[in-house]
Amino acid sequence: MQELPLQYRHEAACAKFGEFAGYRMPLYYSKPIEEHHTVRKAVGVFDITHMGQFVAEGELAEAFLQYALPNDVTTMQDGYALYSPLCREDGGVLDDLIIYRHSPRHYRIIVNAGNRERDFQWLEGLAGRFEVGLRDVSSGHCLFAVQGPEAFARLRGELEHSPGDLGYYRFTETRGFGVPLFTARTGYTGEPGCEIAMAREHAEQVWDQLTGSLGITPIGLAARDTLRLEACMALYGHELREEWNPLECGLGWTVKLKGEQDFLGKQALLTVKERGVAYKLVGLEVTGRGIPRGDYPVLDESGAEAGVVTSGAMTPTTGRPLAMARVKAALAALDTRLLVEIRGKQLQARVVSRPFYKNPALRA
Amino acid sequence: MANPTDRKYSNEHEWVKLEGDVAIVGITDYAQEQLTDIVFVELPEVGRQVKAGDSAAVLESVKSVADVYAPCDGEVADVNSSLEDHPEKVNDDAYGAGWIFKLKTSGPDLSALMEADAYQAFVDAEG
Repeated sequence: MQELPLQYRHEAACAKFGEFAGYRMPLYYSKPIEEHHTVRKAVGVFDITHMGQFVAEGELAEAFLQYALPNDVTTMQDGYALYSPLCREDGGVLDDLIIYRHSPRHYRIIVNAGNRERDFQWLEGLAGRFEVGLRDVSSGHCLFAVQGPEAFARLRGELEHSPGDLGYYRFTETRGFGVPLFTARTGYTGEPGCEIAMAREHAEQVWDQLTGSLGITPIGLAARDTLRLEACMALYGHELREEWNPLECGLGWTVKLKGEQDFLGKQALLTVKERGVAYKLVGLEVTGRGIPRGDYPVLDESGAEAGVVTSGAMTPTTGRPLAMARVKAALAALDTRLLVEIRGKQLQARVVSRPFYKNPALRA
Repeated sequence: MANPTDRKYSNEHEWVKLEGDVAIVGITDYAQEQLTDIVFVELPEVGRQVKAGDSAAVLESVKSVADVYAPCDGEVADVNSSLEDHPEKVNDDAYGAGWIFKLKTSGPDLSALMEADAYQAFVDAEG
């Protein structure tokens, strides 16, 4: 199991650790629910250095990504970030990732830790055809996410280019805390905030100032999961799986057919679009007494198989047992009555709108 | 928190305290700390017969689901129904107000269970 470069800092902050994607990760420092509320009400910082970072460079870098990804890379300008699934030829989702355009010849790509090696091999295989060089720069960088309604106010004056001045899904290269920083207005909590990457040798200095003089509370993976669930953001291995296509697991909005241009998985995804999706991702509220969890079966009112819970929890902000579930398209309308099977018992549930939590300031 | 010496402990991190022919069962302070914030408790039905090692209740934290095993044979005589609305009591007072269920037993076999100090050594070894 790998350790984060700042493991010793997390240990000093009394983190409880657990394994995630091959890393020994801080699960929580105080209590998961308290940390969740800290991010919703104030601000917190996550060490997400486990995530993979690649750089793609070459004259045809844009064409390479336009072919590799279902989302439309050509809508980007320099300084834009774009979320996309990474699909196989048959449309199956290999990962979800964010690309950042420095120029049409130079992109940064941030991928999930658990898929980093597979993604790299996959993308490298495609990059060759475009004479694009792909480098895995993960080990040279650290990545922190500062998230919460107070994030921008707390960072104000600390960075040459304030992340609060960036639009949603925009990034900049700037300086702060005496070192060069890559700052993107992205996140995985549903709160305003940014993700900050820096060279590994500067990470301790940045972390210490964020958590020290700026007084930003470190937050673990447990709260990260309940926060992203309330915001209905997908987690690979849960909402997104290799055997599911993005149109049938909640990522239809990221699939652009791009006119005449080809991209990997296009034919398969077109076919799904033409015949209509068989499954949809929905929000579910369990109205009986129980907590829906990933992989619990979802049934229709007659008890017939309807789909599966992808993620669920007693969500701290709402206090309600909520889940995302992938169910048959005919059962996806709001207020549809469904059942969730929890330890052999069938509990009442209904389809509710997503996301479960929305901060209007997120995109403001 | 010190483990009270008036009860015995299982290697599944339950405690059992005998009061006459009633065995009161809960989880240990170590267990509640490992689980973190408990958000849901599923209690057994009163009158249910359980054997030692049966799953008798379920605790759910933010991240995980944990069974509470019966530490001895018996019949469920009472459950702590206040936990349905206040599951956090298990975190706040694992050895007191956070008790989970009571079993009616006669001469239960507690020989497989540990005394407080042995349990502490067991936990320390588990790390």
